[in-house]
Amino acid sequence: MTQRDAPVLEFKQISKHYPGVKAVDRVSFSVGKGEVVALMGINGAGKSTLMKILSGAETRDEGEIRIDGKALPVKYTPSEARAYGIGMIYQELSVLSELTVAENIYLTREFLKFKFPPVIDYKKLHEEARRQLSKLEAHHIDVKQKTGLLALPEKQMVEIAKALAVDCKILVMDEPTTSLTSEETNRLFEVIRSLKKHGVAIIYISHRMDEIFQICDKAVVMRDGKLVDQLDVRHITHDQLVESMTGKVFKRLDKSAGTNRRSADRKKLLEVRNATDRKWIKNVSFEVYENEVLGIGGLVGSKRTELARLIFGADPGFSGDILFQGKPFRPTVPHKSIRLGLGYLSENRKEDGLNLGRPIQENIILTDMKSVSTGLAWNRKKTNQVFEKYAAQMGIKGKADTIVGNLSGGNQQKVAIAKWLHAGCKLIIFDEPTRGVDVAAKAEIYKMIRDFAANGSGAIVISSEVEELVEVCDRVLIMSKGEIAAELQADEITHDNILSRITSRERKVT
Amino acid sequence: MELVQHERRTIGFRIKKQLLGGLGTFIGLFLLLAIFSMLSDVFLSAGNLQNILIQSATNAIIAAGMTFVIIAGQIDLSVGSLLALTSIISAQIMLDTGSLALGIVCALALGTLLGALNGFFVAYMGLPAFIVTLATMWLFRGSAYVLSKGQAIVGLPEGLRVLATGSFLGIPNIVWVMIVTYVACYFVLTRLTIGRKIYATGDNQESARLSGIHVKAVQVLVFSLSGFLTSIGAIVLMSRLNSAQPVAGTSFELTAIAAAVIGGTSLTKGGVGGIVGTLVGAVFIASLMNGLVIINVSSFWQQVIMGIVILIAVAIDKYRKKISK
Repeated sequence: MTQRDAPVLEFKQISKHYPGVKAVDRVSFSVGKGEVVALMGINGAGKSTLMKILSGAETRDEGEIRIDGKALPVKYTPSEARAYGIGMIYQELSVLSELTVAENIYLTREFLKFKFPPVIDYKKLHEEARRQLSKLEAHHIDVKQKTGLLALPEKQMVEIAKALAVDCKILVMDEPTTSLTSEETNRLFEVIRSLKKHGVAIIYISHRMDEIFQICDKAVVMRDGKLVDQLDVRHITHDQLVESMTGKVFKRLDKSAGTNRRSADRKKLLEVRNATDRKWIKNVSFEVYENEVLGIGGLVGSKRTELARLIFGADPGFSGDILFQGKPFRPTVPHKSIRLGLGYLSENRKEDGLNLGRPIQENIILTDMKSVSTGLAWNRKKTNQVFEKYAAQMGIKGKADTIVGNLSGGNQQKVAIAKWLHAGCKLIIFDEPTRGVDVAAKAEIYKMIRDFAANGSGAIVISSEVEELVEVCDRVLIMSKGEIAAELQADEITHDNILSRITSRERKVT
Repeated sequence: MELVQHERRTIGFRIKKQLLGGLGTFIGLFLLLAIFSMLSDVFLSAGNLQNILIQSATNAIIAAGMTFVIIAGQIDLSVGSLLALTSIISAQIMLDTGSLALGIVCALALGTLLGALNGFFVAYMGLPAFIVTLATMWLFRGSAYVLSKGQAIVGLPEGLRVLATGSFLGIPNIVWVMIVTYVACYFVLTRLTIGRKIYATGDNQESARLSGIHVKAVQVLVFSLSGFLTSIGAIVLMSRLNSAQPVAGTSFELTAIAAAVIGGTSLTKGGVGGIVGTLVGAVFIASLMNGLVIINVSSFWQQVIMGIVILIAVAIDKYRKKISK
């Protein structure tokens, strides 16, 4: 019944309402055999709701979903969705680390020797698991190994193999590269290409533009729940795609505040000499000047976060010398560092960056409660003023008492940044300041970081996104295996330069 | 669009949420009072209502401390034993010195200190609160037996009885102690910055630490508060029993936890709950026990019913979390 060019997956006029909100509004598009479609849109555009509908986690109000021309029932469970051939790969992996690779791939569908007592046929299980992994050209993964011992990209392969094992026709990949290095990302792209050859239809979601251009055939753009554009990726530019997503014209940042003052008399704000934790960080020395945004690039695992946490006093074991604002500084515990004017935006807002169960205003004031209190008493009026100030300045969408966990990712990140602006610090280390944030919010965050540094303060930006370092930094350090491997100034800060320093260093070491 | 649904949900939804939250416990209490008043003539009499409040006082005061601990994401299983140990030691001091005031001061100081000890092990040794307070539960109880040689201490100063028998403006002194405790706790939790710090620490300890909150100090503080309030409970109980007993307070930790949970404080996730709910929860438990006695339900059945009530409370807590997502 299926023809060669018939679409594998069709969305027809899909709508989903939440009280007061149309999360998805009459969306129709299709994905063909072996086609990779980028589902694009800023946070809150309705992408995840649409994908939740597809995966069976949510029920659609209207419309039809067809797979190979056959309409799916209105209501189905996630496990039924798997049986229809819909596989989902999320940024947070669902593999169980205590089970072996093979056990994970065939979880709940193990091959049994006898029905009762249910004895697992391990020989067959391992054989089949190997067959699935070989489709991904991942022969090197030992199917008998505990999954927890694998590196992240390998775990992801296991996750994909698990989806393939149910004969999946449609694979949804939601931000699969967030925790991967560029090398690992390339390997994932190889896998995607081989899946294409096997005829799997892929829906790819990512905030990283360059990936879209590398791997996708078509971009489907959503805005405010509606489908606004279907673009052929070969015929559009980066800026066109951003404009389609945001509905706004894209502007590059002005870096003159930092670069113009690159004179001899510029003042050192922070000077780190021979910092080490005797574990990962090896004799790191660098400085940050006033009005400067210093970038730190490197692969995941190059210990950039460890360096930041060490200097901030989040982790113990510092030795070395630090001069901060001209005075000797010894990192001990976060609350002391903050009092002395050093802040640290953590890389993972969900894990340790925010109090997701608490209101926006309480999150913001945590870093400096003295300014919103009279003696021991908490001043709610002042707290509200602080909230109003940052809500207006950063465009935080929510009320003072909105629980942060109920905000979208971009808004959560704005709250996390507002918290550090409120701290009144002289220097803030921004660790992955735009992780999981859409392009519109990204541009706003970059501007905030630059504005913050421009007033005689300084900022360090740690980022795995090369574009981000190019866009926002005055000077860039490249870290590798706990050491500073290279330094790039002004005009040297280009996409290719940074990338080649990161990768050349890696080749040298390994 | 940027906001997730519930911000924009209807008024009906908000009412439902309120009912399941703080208000729900109130309504449960009123329903309970209504049922018992139909089953018994004496239940709603002023005298009996006063009884209920007096009966709830010790548990309510201890549960207030427990609420702080649970909101901060911890648990304190040692309160019952801590109550016994502070009773025994302060009673002995009262007997030896003849001074009621000195005894009371010593009880409060000792309670706070023992609580701080729990807090020290949790915050600075990094041990789980459940295990630490399980250990000190036996440690305190055992010490109470050792020091008292298993005997009750009687012949306490006459003045102590005034707390249990006297009243002020027609309200029994014990109830006054409970009211003052709750007003103070409400103030600390909602009007002082330390309140925000306790909620933040319970919600996400690591995030709170990286935001510059001295979480170890917060942890020691909540356990100290729990110890302090428990020692107030110890004094109240001593005055009611007119003696100090090493067996006193057995399983009080469980009733205190129950009061907090019935009142909407979440055991599974820190940073959620409030002090008013706990007061209502404690009064609810006392009303239930009092009513069951009045209508002649056997003490065996009382426990069965108590268990069912706690299950219902936890189920409501779970459902509330689900709909507020």
